[in-house]
Amino acid sequence: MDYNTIKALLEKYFAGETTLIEEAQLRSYFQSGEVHQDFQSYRALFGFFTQEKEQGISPEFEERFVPKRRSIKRNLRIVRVWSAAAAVLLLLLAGWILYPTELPDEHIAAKQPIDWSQYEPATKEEAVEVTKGAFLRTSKAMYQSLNQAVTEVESVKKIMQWD
Amino acid sequence: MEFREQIWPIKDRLYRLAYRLVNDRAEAEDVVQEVMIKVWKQGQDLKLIRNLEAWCLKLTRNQALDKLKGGYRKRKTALDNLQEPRTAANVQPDQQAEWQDAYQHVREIMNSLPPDYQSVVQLRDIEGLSYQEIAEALDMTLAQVKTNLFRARKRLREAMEKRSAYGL
Repeated sequence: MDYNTIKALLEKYFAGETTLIEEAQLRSYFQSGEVHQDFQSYRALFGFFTQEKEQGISPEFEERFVPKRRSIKRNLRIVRVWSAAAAVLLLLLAGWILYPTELPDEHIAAKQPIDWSQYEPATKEEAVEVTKGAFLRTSKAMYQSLNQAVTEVESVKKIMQWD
Repeated sequence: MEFREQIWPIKDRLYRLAYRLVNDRAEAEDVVQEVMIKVWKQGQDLKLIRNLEAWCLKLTRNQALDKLKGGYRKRKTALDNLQEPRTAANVQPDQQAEWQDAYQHVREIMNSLPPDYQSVVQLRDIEGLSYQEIAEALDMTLAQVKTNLFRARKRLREAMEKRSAYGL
């Protein structure tokens, strides 16, 4: 590249107006070894850029990083398992709170053993009256049941007649 | 899959940006490792990120700046002896030493620039990214990228011309 082209490119470069291609041309020029005296002061700058591009991370980095990656993967798996277990426990706890196995007070009261001694008749006369009342209630229930049965039989007869 | 195919191949670029900012090889590798771990933990969510490289560069820059703010002791490690700068095969040893001295001077000038200037020069002049790519990676507007680049190059020019004027 001729002197005037390089000079123009350099002015454009320091004005921040060069394209990527033009900057590549400048780097190539300064690497060529045939740099005009007027431009020698910039040679180290462009040479520095080219050299820096060749720097890279050490080979040992990969050896250090891969085991660390495996360890993170393993830890994430453990976290997932424990999270699932915690979720199940929470569900069970919620179920236990919302649907308790203990009965409300009124049901508990019903299951308490009954003290029958308070209902036992105190005298002979009271015992006879209690027994008479029991017989009367039974007789009444039987009479009602008999009437119910007769009614049902009549209904069945009617159904059989329709057939 | 995204990690192996898109992230792992750019680790050198991330390293160079980190090194530009922290100026220490071991710390720069730590930065890249931390970034890689953050990226790896994203898992399937990586697919949702439109520009993975820009995102990784942004993470790297932020991580490096956090390290600078937190402070660290420059470690002398075996890494400092690695990667001796390569020069052309036909360069004489004494000339090679002279070039390394000149490059070291440029490095010192670069290190004296604000982090934003350094980042822009790194991504443009060394990595060859477009203004748009740089803007995305550094969370800047296009105008900010161009302004920072202009100012950085102006300071570099002044320093190089001054050095040359002293016959160095």
